[in-house]
Amino acid sequence: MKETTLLKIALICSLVGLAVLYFISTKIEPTDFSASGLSQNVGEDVRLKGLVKNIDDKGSVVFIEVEQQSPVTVVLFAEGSELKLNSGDNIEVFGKVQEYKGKNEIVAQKIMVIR
Amino acid sequence: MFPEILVAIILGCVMGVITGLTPGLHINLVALILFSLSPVLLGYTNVVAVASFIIAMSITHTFTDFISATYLGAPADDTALAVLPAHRLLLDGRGHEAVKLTVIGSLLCLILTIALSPLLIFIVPIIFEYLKNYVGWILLAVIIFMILREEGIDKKFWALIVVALSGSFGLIVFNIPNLKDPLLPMLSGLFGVSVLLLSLSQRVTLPMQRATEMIKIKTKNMAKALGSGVFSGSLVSIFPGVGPAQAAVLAGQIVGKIDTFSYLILVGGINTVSMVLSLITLLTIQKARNGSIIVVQQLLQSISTGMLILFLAVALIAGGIATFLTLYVSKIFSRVMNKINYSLLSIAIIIFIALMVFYFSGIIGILILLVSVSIGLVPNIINVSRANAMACLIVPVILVNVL
Repeated sequence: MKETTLLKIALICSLVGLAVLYFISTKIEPTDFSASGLSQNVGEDVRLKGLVKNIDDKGSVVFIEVEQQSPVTVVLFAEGSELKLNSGDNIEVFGKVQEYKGKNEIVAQKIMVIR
Repeated sequence: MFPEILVAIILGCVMGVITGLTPGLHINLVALILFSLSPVLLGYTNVVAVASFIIAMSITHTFTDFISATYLGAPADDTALAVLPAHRLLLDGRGHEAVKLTVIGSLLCLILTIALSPLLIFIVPIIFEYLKNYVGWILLAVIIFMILREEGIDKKFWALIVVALSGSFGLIVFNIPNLKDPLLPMLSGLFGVSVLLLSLSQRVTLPMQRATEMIKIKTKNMAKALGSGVFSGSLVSIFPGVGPAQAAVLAGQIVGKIDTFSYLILVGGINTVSMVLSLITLLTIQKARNGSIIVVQQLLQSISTGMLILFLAVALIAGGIATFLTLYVSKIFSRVMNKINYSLLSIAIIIFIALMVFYFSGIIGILILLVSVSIGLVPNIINVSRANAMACLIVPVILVNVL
């Protein structure tokens, strides 16, 4: 095998990878949350950044109120979760928008504290 | 997200070159540092970009670590068995060819694994369920076969002695409490320093290194090497306790006697395959068998099929970039080798390895290095395969799985 052949294969690999990456990154990127988006996008994956305003720990489920123009409720099913949150923490939430008793909320799949 | 991931891939590839060229600097360590910094990093970027950096670094590392194994004789667990054939080619003025062969293995196995990934997503859970209780027995059969493959009763006996010596040595080393990085002194002694000492004692002079454009490999041999690389690399990512080193030994037994070129292609492919397949097992059996991919798992918790496709694309891009980088750096090493005294270089490398061992594993590491060098010299004296010394990693896995 010639070295130039190997380099050509490597170049094709990178280009194919780039094309796939570009296509898939536009498809799977969670939409940044906006208040209007929450009401419109039930069932969609969203990302939300904001300060924790209030935490209501019910044991197996935790309700986190995140400061936005109008506060958003994030639901975290906490079984096995070791996440420790305090009011005032800056967090990033990845989750799905869900409608519950006429209100929209985000069911968290992942919450990270940003420092 | 696309530009952020691209930057992460480029930075990851650069870091992969650094970790690959520095004996003792493991990708797992860099991945763990990144994980501990993730709360700060996520203020500037997103979690997918951090994961992409780790994947690009890990893939590039599986390409570049053969440079230090070939030119410096400093092996890691995935390159240990490549040191001897690569060193032979280096002493024949063909160090760059040795590296190029491992790059062929890494790149083509990467492409094959990604092409087979739709199939592997279904097959991996089935194989895992079926074979998970037999790993120890399979490895025991491999080690018995390795001994029996030596020619003549004398060599079989001495192969058994080497297996017993290195197996017991591995058991002792892995049971030393609070020992950081036991693999560095053990493998550097068995497969690196001992080879360099033999070169020194035989007053080996390095011939002019040449960078040939063409390598002739029979298509049948290449297909055999790539197939075995993908198969044994899969074992690493599916079964607990099986590392690239054990997989390389297993693959060597499966393909039988193959030429040096095909063997280097095979060994080159194993670690790249295991890295890519770790991403697939993360989706299919929710298990990562690889340190850096475990950090990706910690960052993301779980991955979706879409995310897996994204990471496979990251691996493909990183593999392409790593091919260019590895061949470029190898040519630089090749040119430098022409200008320096090999005996002095060997002494410098031995001192460097000893210093690295002392830094990472302390005085106990130096003791392990001395013992492993002594054991590493035995196969050469009695003329049996040095691969038998891999028992230091295989015997502990057999005992954990069988007993």
